[in-house]
Amino acid sequence: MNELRMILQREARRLMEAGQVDVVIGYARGPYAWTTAPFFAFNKNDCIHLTVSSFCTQNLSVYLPKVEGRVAIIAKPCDVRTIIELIQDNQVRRENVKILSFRCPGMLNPKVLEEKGVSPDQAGTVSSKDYPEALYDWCRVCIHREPPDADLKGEPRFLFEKTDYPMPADPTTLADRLEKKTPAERLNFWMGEFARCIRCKACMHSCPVYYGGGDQFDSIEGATGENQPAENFKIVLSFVHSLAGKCTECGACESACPVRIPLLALHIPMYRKMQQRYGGYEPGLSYDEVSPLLKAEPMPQIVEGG
Amino acid sequence: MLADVLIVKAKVKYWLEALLDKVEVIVPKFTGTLIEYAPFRRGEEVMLEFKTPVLSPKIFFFPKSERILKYQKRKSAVNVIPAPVETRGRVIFGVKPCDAKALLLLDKQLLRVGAPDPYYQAHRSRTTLVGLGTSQPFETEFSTSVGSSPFGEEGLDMLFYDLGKEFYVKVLTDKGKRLLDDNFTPAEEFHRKTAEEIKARAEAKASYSLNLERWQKYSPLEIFNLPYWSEVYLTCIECGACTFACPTSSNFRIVDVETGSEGERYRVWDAPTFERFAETSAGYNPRLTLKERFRDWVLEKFLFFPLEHKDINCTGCGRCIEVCPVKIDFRKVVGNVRFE
Repeated sequence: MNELRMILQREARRLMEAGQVDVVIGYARGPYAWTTAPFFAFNKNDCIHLTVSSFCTQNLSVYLPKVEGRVAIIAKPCDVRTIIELIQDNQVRRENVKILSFRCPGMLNPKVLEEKGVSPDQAGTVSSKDYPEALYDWCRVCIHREPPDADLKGEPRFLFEKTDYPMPADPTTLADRLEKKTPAERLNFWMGEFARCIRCKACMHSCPVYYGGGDQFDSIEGATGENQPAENFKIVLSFVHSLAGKCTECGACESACPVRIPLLALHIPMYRKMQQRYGGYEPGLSYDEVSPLLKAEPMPQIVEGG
Repeated sequence: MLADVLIVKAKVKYWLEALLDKVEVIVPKFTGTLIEYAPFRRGEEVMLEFKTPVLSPKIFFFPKSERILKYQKRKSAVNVIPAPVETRGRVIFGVKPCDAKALLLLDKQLLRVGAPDPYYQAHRSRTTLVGLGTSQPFETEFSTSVGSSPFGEEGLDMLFYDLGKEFYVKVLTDKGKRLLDDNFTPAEEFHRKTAEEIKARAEAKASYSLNLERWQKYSPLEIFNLPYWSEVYLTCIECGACTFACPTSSNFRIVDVETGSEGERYRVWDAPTFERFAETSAGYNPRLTLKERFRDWVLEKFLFFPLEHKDINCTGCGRCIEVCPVKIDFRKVVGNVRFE
């Protein structure tokens, strides 16, 4: 990933020097091992702090609607897709944004790496090529490793063909495992998970294409302690449903959760349902194709039960 | 210190099981995804080495949601029935010293002279805190720099030092002394010395230069108005993770759950970074933008609170940095203040 970092840094610096952008939104080293933190570079000297690693789980396009002026942004392919969503929704103008993207090898879960005895010193270089089993669930189901649009497309040195994208021996995700359970078991699982929820709204605020802000968590119904697990589940389900046809499975919400509720196990089935029902629609792949849920066309008739 | 004793690690379990006859016991547990403080059941193994849990024992004193009263509206008056206060004894094992100090800071906020919070007070007086020193502080911990320590004794009733096969135990209060039984054996000079070494090593590790002495040269208003505050908040996404994980934060909101002419009043957590935190019922919001909300969240800990209570409202546990989705380093936010 080192070489990729150099490519992106150089381009960010060049754009700054040429006066083409006012700010570069990228990642810098985080406060402790395995972490990266969003970083705003306002001049060319700041660009030296920009970095890319296998641990860039935040989706930086969340800042785009808030920043004024011309922006260069470092984005993973799934983040580029949310930028396209934002442009479709008139939140961002394409001409104000320079997208610096790359062929994405997938993001890794540091917990798995630590169990394998990988040293945090390797955080800058380690990739899914070395430890495919550490790939996050959402990177396991991802088939769009190429950014659909970019002003610069970086390529990691270990150029891989589309066919030999590193995959763990057992590519199943939590969503697949939950699908095999009965509805009662699933409900039980989720109520246990949402009992942990501290209602901090991090999932909603880290999502670039969710404009709700999380005020549902201030609801009166959720105030009583006994109601909270069910209420939290209901609120997050409404969050997941409102992202149908918009979620690009970037995983920002799950990695933002301080109590590690596996939100992508809700988003992934939703994404699949959308594809099945609406002729394989996937959000954020082109500027022209809008979500079928936003089209004024007769709904396809739904025959199956759920 | 009232006494110091030893306990073999294998016996901790039996000691806690014996305590279960008299009181409720809360221990750190691995619940599949996270380490959380949860009630101890007979026959369970006890975690003796663990990373600082994401949620501090604050949740047992100042829960996510607590009923404070019931009310009935009648024609002539409103009947108010306060919620019952819990009195059953409780022991929390494995409290991190910074979290115990944090409870003392919460006392200053919730047990103000003249208006103490009865629910918080009841939880406090029924609980004995058994501390476990942090021999290996996590990278984000900076307790030494804010007047706490990975082996601080403030607020604790007992403090455990990990000596390998056994614990060296300092008994700090009468409350703690009452928990002693025949599982404990007398400590010797050698153990005291080893414990001191462990403490010194941990304290050196849990330190970060916050440069707080620079703040003394400026008036509170000057610090409040620094242009610096319009730069540091930029990456904040205004969630409440840092506040809710913070062991010293007591921000709350009052919610009435009403059905017909009766209702219940709850106190629930709130975060100063939330858009509507400071909004008044008339609709006016004095902290309109994230800049103000973020600044006030930081300055409440390091400026406003010290002005009133002569103590920083932070114990350096480092949770805010760890839970932050965008990994804002609060040590840097405070330590790198630009005074120009």
